[in-house]
Amino acid sequence: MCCARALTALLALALSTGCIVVRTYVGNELPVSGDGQLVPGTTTKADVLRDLGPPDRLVHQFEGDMFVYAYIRRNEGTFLLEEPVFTHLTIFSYTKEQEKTDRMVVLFDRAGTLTDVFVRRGTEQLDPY
Amino acid sequence: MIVRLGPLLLLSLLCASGCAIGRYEEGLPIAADKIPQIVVGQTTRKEILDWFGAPTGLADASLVERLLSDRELGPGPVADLPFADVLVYRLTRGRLRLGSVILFTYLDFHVASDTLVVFFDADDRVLYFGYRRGTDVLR
Repeated sequence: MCCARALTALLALALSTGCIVVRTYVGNELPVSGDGQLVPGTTTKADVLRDLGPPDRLVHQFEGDMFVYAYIRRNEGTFLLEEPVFTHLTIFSYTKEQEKTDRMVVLFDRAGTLTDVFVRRGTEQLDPY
Repeated sequence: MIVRLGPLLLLSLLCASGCAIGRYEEGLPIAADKIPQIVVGQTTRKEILDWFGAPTGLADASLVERLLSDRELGPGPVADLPFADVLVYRLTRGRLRLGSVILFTYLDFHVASDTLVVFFDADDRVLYFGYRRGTDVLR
């Protein structure tokens, strides 16, 4: 009798809780630009395309083009406790979402020479769990 | 009786697990063997169009890109230009993996692209080009 109750309780618990982990990756990891590879005033658009590949977004500006490289990651974890049979009533729910982006912006002048590079690596700040 | 039911119950719980794999592809594969033949200052726009076909954005609707950019999960189309001095070719692949074991569900969604961007000068010859093969990470 005691075992039956324990098993029933275990089954109810198993049916009523859940843990969901979702990982989303969009784009390609940012190319590693080594020191001295991108030099304002010297590096050309052809150099950037050859070394870093095509951008994920290309913007024409009045003063010259802008290349945007982006890599987006989203981590989502959910813990859910609900009544499993009759009402499916959510008793407790905990969700944690984190979305971080690695983004590199490369600016050129009208002649196609690099003027500025801005890099922000956000995906390193993602929690592992 | 209860002792016999225990393993059965455990087995039925274990049977409540499963997995799913989904793959998505959008756009046409880029003819990578033609890329070494692109010569800056020589190759014409016509040759590029002959080798790679109609560029992305003009020939096919990029459903995943639009969906991702609508949800601010992607930067949107590579180039959205009112004049055509740039041709963009893009193959986008997505992979979904789902595993579920009793109480634990893991879902992994990965989207990556192969991209070729070709710039032209005023004489319709290649000015710059760049190619990146990003879908290899999905293999």
